[in-house]
Amino acid sequence: MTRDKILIAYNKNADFHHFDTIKKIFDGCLDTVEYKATDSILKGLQWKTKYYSADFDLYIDRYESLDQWLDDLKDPECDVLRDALAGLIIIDDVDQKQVSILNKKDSPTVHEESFLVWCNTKDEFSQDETDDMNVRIAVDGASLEIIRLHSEEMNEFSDTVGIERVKEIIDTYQWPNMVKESLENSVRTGKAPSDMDNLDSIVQKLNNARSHYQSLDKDNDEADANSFADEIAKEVSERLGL
Amino acid sequence: MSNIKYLLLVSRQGKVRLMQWYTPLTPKQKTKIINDLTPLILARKPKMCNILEYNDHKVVYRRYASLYFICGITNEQDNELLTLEIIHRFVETMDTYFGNVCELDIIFHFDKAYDILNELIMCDGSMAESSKKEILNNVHAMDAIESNDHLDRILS
Repeated sequence: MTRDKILIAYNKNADFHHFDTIKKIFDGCLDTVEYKATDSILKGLQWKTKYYSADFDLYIDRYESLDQWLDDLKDPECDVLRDALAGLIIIDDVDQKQVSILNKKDSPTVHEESFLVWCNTKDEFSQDETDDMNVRIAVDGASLEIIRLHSEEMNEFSDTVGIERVKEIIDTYQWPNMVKESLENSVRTGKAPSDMDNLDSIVQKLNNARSHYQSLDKDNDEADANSFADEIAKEVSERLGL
Repeated sequence: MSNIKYLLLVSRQGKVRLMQWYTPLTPKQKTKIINDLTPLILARKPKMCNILEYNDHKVVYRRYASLYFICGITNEQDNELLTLEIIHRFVETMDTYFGNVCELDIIFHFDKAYDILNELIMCDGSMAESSKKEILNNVHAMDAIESNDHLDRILS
């Protein structure tokens, strides 16, 4: 099954504007769909990076007791849902006991390829404490990551934190349905120094190709010639940085 | 003189993004090293020492944003601080090539990351080239050759 759904769960009794957080995480994705803050399924969203785009659905659920909600999610009845999850994001005050439940290796909450993020809404929990908690989680070899929502951009070690880190985790998820952007556009950030030196040889090759295509039969090879013209125009534009 | 045994690049989530082995090891030994070192290093606090002992050799690591660069080094021949500088040079070179390198750049252009690494460190684990400019020139030259091949293919 394609793992292309992100499930977000939050505590319905918490005094926190969860939908603002969702909007911040998926800021660019929500522009293309109509939605209400009370919607629990948002379909046909698109996650975009400079390298790829991927379609995904966003499922939003709320709970009264996270323990109970996790038990339900781990129930065999929810196997189909869990198999379809790209990742699970919990938005709530962090709780050590529930972190342990999420971390249990013998009964994983999500598939090992999927991501598991806890967005901690507790303001008094500092970034240092969050980092310490993540270190303890790493000792157990689990994939859960705690994110402090109130942190912005980077900590003192240049680590991305807060909402930006959630975005980074989603960016690096191996979307099974990703559509890659043209690598030609994204890979060569530096121009090859010899590109312009080779201009003479490119012109020479173009002349040879022109002679070759002039000699072709017009009716049979027009499609061929058009396709060639398109390709060469694209190649030359790329080389000239247009 | 350096004689690096291996270089691993592991993400904060424990996923291996690059690996290069400079000593002959069986697949089982390689898997064991990855499985042992990944949780060991990910579980270290930011202010802890970047050098640790592992089996019969030392491991030097450095964290850059969400990526851990991990090097296994030979006790007698390698200098730990020099290894940290080699890691830093690798990151600097990738940073210049990609323009503020991030994990995504390495995931989608791992071939370029390997090209840069191969220009920096030879197959026996010793340093091949320390000049960032020279490494970038070579990698750009490779890009130009690849690009010309592409053009030739279209024109033919």
